[in-house]
Amino acid sequence: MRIEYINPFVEATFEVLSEILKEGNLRRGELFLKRSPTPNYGVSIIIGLTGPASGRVLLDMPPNTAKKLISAISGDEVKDLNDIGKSALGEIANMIVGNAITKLYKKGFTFALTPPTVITGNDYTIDTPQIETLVVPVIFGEDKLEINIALKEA
Amino acid sequence: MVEQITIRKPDGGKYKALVVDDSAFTLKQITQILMSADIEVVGNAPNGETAIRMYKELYPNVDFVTLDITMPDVDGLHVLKEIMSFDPNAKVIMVTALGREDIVKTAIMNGAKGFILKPLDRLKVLERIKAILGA
Repeated sequence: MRIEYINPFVEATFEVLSEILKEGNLRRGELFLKRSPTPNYGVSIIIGLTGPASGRVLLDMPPNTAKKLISAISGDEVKDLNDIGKSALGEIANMIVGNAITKLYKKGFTFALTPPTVITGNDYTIDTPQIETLVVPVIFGEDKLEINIALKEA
Repeated sequence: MVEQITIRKPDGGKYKALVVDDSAFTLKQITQILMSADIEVVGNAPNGETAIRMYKELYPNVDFVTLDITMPDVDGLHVLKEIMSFDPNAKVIMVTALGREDIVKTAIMNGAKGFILKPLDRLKVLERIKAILGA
């Protein structure tokens, strides 16, 4: 996976989450690679990408972090992950990935994205055969989410 | 405390809006923001095809449209062109994600009157709409 593909997603995540959370206290954790399906945190949003490379970006977070993000973007305290809340999570992922592909476009890489899919629950794994996944943890206060980037050159 | 903003026509009448977005959350959020300014939301369209049909059905009882750019199947730019072709005086305000302002240039060239950015901030959205409508 080309390194030029990674930074736009990290920058976009920081910009969008800072705007939603109204705080600049976000920091990046240590990057790591995943090669096999792994347990998730309970709430995942997946967006597919096609272009010079194909694959997907997955935002993975615990339910409490998801509720915090939904509360921040909606302005109302959210206690349950209902359909509107899941739609809000899809919108957040859309904003991040949309922002990232604009940054990539400015670097000369034209990507298209698919609508977001939101998955909740603990009893599943996500398998991306033959595509190495780079994981970028993003930490804010006591919350953490992970950006999983899996792109393979076309 | 929520700052009260009211957006009315020069004659004091209520503006009528059609809100278009494939996200149920954003559809609800924009509707609430508009209604908080005493704007009447006369239609919610969850996709481009419905948006085009609803605009034609509502015309001339719709004053402006908020239109999401990124939607599956029939996207916002296509909807914009269809609406402008049907009603060259239509006031269409594009809705797009932070950092994607460049896409808006194409929309402006195709007749859009302006844009609002996600994540949506109520006051910023209403100020922008007020300026675009000249209210």
